[in-house]
Amino acid sequence: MSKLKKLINKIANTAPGIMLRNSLGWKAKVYIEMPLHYSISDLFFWCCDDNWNTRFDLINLPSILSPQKNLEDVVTILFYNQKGEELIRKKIVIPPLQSHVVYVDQIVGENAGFGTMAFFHEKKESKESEEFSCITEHGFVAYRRLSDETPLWSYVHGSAFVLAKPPGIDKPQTVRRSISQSLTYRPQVVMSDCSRFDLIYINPMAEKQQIVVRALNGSGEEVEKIKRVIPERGAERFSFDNENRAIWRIENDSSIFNWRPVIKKYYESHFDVFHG
Amino acid sequence: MNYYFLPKIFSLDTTLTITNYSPVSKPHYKSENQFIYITYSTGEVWKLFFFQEIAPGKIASIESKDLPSEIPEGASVFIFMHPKRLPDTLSELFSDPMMETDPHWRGNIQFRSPTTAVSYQGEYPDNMLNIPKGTLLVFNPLIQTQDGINTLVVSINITSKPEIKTGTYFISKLVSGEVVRKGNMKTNTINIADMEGLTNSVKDPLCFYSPDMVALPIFFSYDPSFRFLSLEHSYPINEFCIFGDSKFPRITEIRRHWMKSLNYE
Repeated sequence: MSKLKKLINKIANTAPGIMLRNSLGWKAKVYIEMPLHYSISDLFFWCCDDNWNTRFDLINLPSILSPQKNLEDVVTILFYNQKGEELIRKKIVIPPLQSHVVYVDQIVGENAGFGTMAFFHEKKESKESEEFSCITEHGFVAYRRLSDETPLWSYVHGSAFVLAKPPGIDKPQTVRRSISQSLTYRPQVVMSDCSRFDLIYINPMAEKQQIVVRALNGSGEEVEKIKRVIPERGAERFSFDNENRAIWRIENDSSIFNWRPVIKKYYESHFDVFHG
Repeated sequence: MNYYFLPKIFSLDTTLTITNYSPVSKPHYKSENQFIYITYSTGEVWKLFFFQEIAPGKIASIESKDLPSEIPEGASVFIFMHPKRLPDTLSELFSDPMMETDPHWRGNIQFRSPTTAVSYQGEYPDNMLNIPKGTLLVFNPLIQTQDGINTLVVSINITSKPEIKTGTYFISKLVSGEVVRKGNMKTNTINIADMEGLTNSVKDPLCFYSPDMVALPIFFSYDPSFRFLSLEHSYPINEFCIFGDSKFPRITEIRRHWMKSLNYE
């Protein structure tokens, strides 16, 4: 790399440089790099009521990433309600190379409804100088509709890194930076094969965020537009009736990079869930 | 540039939906007509079939019943878009920066029964076409073993050269090391392996790996009536961590460690 390129790179990665990049939308830097002994998690959607349950499959990540050390995994579990308010905090220990299933109905108890959850993996002792990267929980979460006569779970992984937790400190912080421009995200999927679907958005930022969701017909014309504000760490569910199959695709505008919805499509006997 | 695939599973209909628009606005994305090609490997060449032209901003769906009759029964079918007309055969598949977006330019691969459907939002990126000495290592296989539920592991391998080579996959218990299943996988093939009869315990979870084959694994779980379906892919261990200048060399070391220490008997 030439000296000039190195200098430009250095300036572009200073705080004012990143601010300028993000305000211009030019090579925006959307993550805040964390110290390497921090633990990072996506925010996952949970839904638990008379008709839905959610599970989360954890594996002991430290013992996989440090295979010679036979490490226990101390996992801090955080649940937020729909408004992003903390509901429950819990710690579990997973023995080396083992896994653990979190059933959400056993955690949220009377706080039925929906919201978000995060999982932070930590070694019992962690020093920044000894870590090469931040351990990250990226999924999997699975959903089951209780009225379905099947033990099958429908899995989906996380969509983006959201929260970082320093060791020994309970309060996580966001790893996301906002961008000063409006960004459009267009899931590359057709919605016209089902009569009903939900889009679920989770706010990964440290402040409330506005989102505009547009439903488009086969000619790309807008047939429905919904504008909502989602609190930080909160979740919002947009439900669409598509009985007449007028909606072919959807898109959303926000100032968050890669704000992908979880999509739930409903069919005659079952549902499909995936990231848009 | 991405490749997509059209697996044939039981009597289910498979549909691939691809779009000629990027998921996000992209400064150097050139909006132009694309040609959709269906291809399969004879072992010596890639046979190409032009499917349709797609205008910018439009969506195309390819169903398993739309496949050209010239494609032999049982051949693994791959699909891609390209802005130029291509010959009927290629000696190698190629790469192109056209679809390099962040987030990735996805396709939607859907399996449909008479009463429901499941889909996988994904792609086979061209940077996976030429991985030398590639391996596969999955610590979180989504193998469902509840009563009345079965899982198929669909492992897709595409290389730029058309030759069809055979490799091996293993499923073992991570703590005890016991190999509970092994079988063959092939290059340029949609490999399907039945996981019936396995148990996946939290105290000794399953691990899925291949010492000699790269693949993109997706996990299809179903009940025998196909009224209830589930589909999702797993991800590699480099997604178990983020940040750090030495992340990728260290992850390579960790992969090597696991590939040496896992059982193959």
